[in-house]
Amino acid sequence: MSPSRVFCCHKGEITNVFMTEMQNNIDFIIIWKKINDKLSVRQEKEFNQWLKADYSHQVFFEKVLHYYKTGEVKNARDHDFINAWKSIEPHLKDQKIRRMPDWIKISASVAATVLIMLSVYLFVDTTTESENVTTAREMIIPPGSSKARLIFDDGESVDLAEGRDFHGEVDGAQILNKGNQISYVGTKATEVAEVKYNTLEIPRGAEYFVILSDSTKVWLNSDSRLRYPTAFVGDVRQVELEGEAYFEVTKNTAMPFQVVSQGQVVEVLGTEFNLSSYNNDDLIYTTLVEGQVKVYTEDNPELTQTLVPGYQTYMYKESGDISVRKVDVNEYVAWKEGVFYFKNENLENMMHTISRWYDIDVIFEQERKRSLKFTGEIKRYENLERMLQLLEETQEVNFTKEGKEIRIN
Amino acid sequence: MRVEDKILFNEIKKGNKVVYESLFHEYYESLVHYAEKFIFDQAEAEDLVQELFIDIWDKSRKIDIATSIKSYFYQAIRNRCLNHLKSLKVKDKHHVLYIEAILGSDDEEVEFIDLDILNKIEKSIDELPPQMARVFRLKLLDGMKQDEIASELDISVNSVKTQLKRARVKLRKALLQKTNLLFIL
Repeated sequence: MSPSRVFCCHKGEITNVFMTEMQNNIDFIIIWKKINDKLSVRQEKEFNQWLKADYSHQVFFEKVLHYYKTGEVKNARDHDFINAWKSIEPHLKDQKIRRMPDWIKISASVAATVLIMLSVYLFVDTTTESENVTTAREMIIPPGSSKARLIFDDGESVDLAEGRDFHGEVDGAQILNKGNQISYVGTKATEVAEVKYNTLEIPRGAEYFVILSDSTKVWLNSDSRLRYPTAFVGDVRQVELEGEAYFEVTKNTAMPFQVVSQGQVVEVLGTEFNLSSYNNDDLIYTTLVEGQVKVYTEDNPELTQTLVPGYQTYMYKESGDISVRKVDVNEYVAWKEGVFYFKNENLENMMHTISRWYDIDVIFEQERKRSLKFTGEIKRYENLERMLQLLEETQEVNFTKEGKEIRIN
Repeated sequence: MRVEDKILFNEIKKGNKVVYESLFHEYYESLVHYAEKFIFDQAEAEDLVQELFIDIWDKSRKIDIATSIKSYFYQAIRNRCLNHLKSLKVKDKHHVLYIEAILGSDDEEVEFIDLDILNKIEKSIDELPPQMARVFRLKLLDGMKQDEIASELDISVNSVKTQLKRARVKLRKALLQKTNLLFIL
């Protein structure tokens, strides 16, 4: 990513970069208007500049012209589908077939019944006290707590935790750490001579809450990092995220808020959403709770998905493809309210979430257990044992615990 | 993800070329038609789709499809078309080409249409004459084939074709006016 584009102080240079970009890339609507004779003088000039810039542009324009005149693509011929397969087949590398567990080596029709997974319901009775749960097996694994490391612009850092309040001026900002939250107060963009960045790093087994200089609130989940300027200047408010966070963005239509995360950009004016982008996940999930957000990739900013509340985008990191689906928002934001909420979730994903929060390692002794599905909810601030006991009550899984290692069988 | 898709894709991950070939035959043609409307070039569209099939085969182990195989392929080809346009210094900020591709495609499902655009399309369909709107709805939103629409509405295949053609011309105008409006604003 290029924060310099947004935060760089050399204004003259930025303008130049933008100017050249605008002259080179034209929107297709200009070409469409050219064909329909609807260009303004300024657009006509822009069009001609693009057309003259490269011979390939002229060829493209002729093809477009042809299509709109005839309704057919130029030089279209009959497709030769059999040969098409023949021409790609040699390029498909033979994959080394890994030995699959026996259960998967059955015919597709039988596999279908296997894949219709068990759905097991967990019920959490909140009125029962959890005392009787404490099986005297060994060390109890407590839930995550409020902990974080704050890294200043010069690389120096300080560990934050509940009960370690402080108040000071660092990197041109008034920083106040109190309880489980850190806030940036009393900084005015105009007073900032140079943009300084701070990073908040949340380890496994922890969470933290930050209020940025524009009053935007960010809840950070375990194993996450947020990098942000101590004061927002320029025309965009931009932060970088790894891991998971819930954002409540302060409205400022003149200065959009952007969250950049592993190639994905979420752009908002003022709204609430959850973003999950863990390194060991193939996907980045952006779930909208309120308002409207735009989601796109840094490589392909014109391919934008606009989200409305109750919908979620999921981006494949590998290909950059972004799709939209309707979701139960609760499932994705419950963590912020102190609840694990699983809805028809497979055990593998559940254990990813659980291991980050309790800072444990999980080992599956039987591959097939990974895809068992569960539905249920439980408070995040219970000890790990409570969670495991509830799962065991379904009689689908058993856990053995050795220190911080949990085996599933 | 549907169970059938899951089984199919697992087979591909394992390197089952027979399954991949049948998938290729199922989607290749409509993907090429779709790409064509984006980039106005049949040969290039075919190249893009073929490259896509080669790349997905290579990377299949790492790919985790959340919706359906079909929507994954359409999303991916759309990306590749936009990248191709980028090389020609053309962008599609106002989704003119995307709408063209959707209107012109012979195989469409709602699931891979941008919600914003879908809303616009639905509104524009409402403005069509009733019979034309019915035909177009069955085609675009229910994904029915021309002969299926003909028997559903008890009209000839030819008249389905004519209705679709006229609907496209009208929709294109209406939609582009809407995008145009946005553009001016």
